[in-house]
Amino acid sequence: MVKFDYFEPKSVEQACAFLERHADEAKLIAGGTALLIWMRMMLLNPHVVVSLARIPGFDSISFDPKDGLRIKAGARHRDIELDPAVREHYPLLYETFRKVAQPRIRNMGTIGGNLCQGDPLTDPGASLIAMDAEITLTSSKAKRTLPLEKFFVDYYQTDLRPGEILIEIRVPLPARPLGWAHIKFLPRSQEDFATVGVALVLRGNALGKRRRSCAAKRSPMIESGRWRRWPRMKSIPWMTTAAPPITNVT
Amino acid sequence: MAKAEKFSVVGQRVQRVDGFDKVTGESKYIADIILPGMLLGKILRSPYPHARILRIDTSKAEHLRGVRAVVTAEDTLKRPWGAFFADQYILSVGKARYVGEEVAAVAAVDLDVAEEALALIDVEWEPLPAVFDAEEAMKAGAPLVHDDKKRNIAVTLDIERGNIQRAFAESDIIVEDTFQSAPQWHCSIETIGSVAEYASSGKYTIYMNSQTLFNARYRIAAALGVPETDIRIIQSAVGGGFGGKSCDDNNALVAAILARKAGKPVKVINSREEEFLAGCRPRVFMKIDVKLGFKKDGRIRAKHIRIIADNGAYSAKAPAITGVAAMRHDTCYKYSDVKTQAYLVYTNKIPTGAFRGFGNPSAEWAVEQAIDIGAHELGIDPMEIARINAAESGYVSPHGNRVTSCELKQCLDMTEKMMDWKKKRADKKPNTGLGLACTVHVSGKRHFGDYDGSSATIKINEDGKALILSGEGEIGQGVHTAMCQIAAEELGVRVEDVEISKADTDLTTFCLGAFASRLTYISGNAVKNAASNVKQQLFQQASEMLEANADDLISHGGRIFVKGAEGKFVTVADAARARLFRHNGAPIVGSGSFDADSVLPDKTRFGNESGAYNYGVQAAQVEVDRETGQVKVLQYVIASDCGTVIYPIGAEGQVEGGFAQGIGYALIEGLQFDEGRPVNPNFSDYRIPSMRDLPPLTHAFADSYEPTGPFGAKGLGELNMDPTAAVISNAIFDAVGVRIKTLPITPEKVLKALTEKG
Repeated sequence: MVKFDYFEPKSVEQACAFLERHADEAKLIAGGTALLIWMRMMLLNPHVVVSLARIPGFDSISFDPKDGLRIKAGARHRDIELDPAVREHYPLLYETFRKVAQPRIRNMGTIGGNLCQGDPLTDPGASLIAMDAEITLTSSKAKRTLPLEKFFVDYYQTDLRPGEILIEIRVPLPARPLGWAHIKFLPRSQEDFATVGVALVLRGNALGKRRRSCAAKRSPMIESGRWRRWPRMKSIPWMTTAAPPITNVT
Repeated sequence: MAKAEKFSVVGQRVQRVDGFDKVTGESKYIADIILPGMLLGKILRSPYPHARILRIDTSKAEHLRGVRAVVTAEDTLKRPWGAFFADQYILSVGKARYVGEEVAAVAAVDLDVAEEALALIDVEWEPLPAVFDAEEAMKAGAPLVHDDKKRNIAVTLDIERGNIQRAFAESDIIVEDTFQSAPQWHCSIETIGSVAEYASSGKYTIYMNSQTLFNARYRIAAALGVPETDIRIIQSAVGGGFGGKSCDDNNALVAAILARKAGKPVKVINSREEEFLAGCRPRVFMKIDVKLGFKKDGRIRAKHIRIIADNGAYSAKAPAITGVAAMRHDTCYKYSDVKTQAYLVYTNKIPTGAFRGFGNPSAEWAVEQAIDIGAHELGIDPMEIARINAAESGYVSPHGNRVTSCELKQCLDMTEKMMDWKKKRADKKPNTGLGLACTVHVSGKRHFGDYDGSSATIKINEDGKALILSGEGEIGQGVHTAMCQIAAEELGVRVEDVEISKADTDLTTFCLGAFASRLTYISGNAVKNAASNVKQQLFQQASEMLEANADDLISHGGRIFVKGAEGKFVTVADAARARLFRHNGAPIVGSGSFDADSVLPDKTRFGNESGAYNYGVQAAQVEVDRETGQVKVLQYVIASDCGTVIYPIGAEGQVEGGFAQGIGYALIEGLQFDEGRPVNPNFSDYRIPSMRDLPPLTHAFADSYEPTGPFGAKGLGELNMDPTAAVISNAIFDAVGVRIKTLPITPEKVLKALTEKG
């Protein structure tokens, strides 16, 4: 690992200012579970590392029935898994975060870091897309909100623009009844990245009509060219036969 | 025979002697060893699987600020070294033979500078044709890895005992099949590392996380061309060995020559990627043809095995491993007529070598499946086939292995009961199945010269506590605790009153180290003999103090007294002080040696290779998902015969750890090569089993006593790595009727086999 300068801004504004000042040389660090591996492998050698760990409230999770769930980007996977509102109102998210890696990783890795890494192998993206999550990004100049689905471009490529920081993920409260499932195929170790992960949501009174909202992610190992890499799949033929069993209706 | 209950310390669940240091983080691993003025070293490695070095220019690297030494083969004697064959160099001489081979190295003030300097070393390469597959390498016209090794063959074995042709003619059925084993890495949490210091007197002091210090000293001395006395090796805490830290690699040698050239201590620690590329020597992978002849009643009449083993670019321990794969299993069942052929072949890949099991997992993967095939063809329960053929105490294998204790049949009975085998077999459910395999391993192996022994010294301090000086070393398996228990039992003191030294080649007597499941049995006997010597001295002193005959004395809990008269005693401390503080005083100190009653195998590899043999049985119940090919292990059962269990917590750890690595070998682990380049040399892509991948395990030790062992003990460390892959494969066959013959058993392979079967 090459030497680097390390900053701990106390606000998002300060962090944005650091990013602007150091432009191409800087990398943000939150939980570090992805960035440090890349740095150790010398795939990334940033001269400046800007930590988001000391920004007050950057890891908060709040819920309002009208507004939905607001997860700040610094929230750790474990925080989301253990949040009572997530468990009560977003059982798919609870189920997904409960199965991310293992507790030691969940205690370190943040949701913002996970999404910005754009790694197609991780679990939260599909479930959040299936739940119509939207994200808010900010920079020194502007703030924008977009559906998470639009954020993912390709393997390890997102729509994160220079100087931007992901600050919040909002998940609207889904209508009830709600059918949902999350499965992942782990052919090797239970702690491996999934070869295929599927999150599925069946909504409201359309449950019976099988109107479905589904997101799947797959590893580069099983190319088929049949789907986009970060797809939201509406009405895909195989879903009618191979869909995960919808035993969960809340 | 004697039972564990008879002992007061042996067999007790005592606290691990290095437990406090480990849980408080005070154990000093290589990363924790920091010497004044110490530099950090990095190694430039070959990017080619086979390439001639036309020129190396190190001048730019030498001039980089912060660089203190740059070394190439010119800084070495260019003298080959190796465990059995001297065929590898400290740094490439003339050409590199695998991706990752050490070409040059740098010592600098920090790692960033060292890395930068590596990039400034200019090597002009001429890539050469390379060969990656052992069978290809044996063909005429294949590129030669070593010019003097025709057809790249390092070792050929062709041994027949009895009359194999007649034995097959007398067989009722013959089973013939081919199985492919896979490479497997040790994945110790601590990678190989060393800190070397050079004094201008000519002495090297090297801290190593090695598991075989005196063997390391011998090899390092030979490679550097200095006498053994000029090398002092001190063992650091060791974060896992499993055979991978047996000094078959160049890490310590590179640190030593950098330290000499820089005039400062130098630390070299492998990164995880380096560990995969060129650190620990992975399991030898083999293609194994097995042919077995059975009588109708299930008796094995004939066995013919043919092995092609991949040596990689240099010979580490593979020459011995090939022999083990070819012959060891013939000590598990009662064989009369066997033929074994084996070829160990050079390829342009990482040298393969010692890993827990030492050839046995590959052989058992093949032979135990062939036996299972025979059982199914004969319509005999695999449990019965094993029982019919199982070795017993007194058995002498066709290769001369003499079995002094064997509880294999007891282990079969235990396994049958723990698994509820008969009931489960009778109520077989769709897609679930049962599998079984037996295993044998040694307790030490006579192959480093005509010696498979150990030595130890014990001194009694003025406070009555005993200190064992032993050069065998602790690598995490708990052997130091077992040694303290053995000494405490023999001396009649509490285990808390016995300590054990670090292994240090200057301060301890000659020891071969941790390999071949040898320490409890061999080092245990040496420690017991040393303790017995010390006890005689203590009793001599106590007899004067108690005015009694030394022969009438016994000791217990640190007190020495006349049998039956516990009220009148002297403590060990009293006796030790009385012996020391007087005219002509002397400390109480005694040594002990032990050399196993084994035989250095002759040219045909005949001879009793070990002093004792350990046995075991494993069984699994699995469920196969027909849609995905995924195998779920529902239940796992292990019975082990390791004689008396000295340190139960450590022994259970050995069983569970060996089994976990067995599950990894069977179902998960695999390094992929692309033109000799490892594709997945990291823990993201090379997966090992986690806690969540391990099925429920029921385990028990057989009631067993090895007459030549210390308090009846024999080896255990490798036993439960050996048969696991075959157990899983046999269970899959029982579940869904497909047989997987290559490792690891991935869902893809199972699914493909199911699809082909239809």
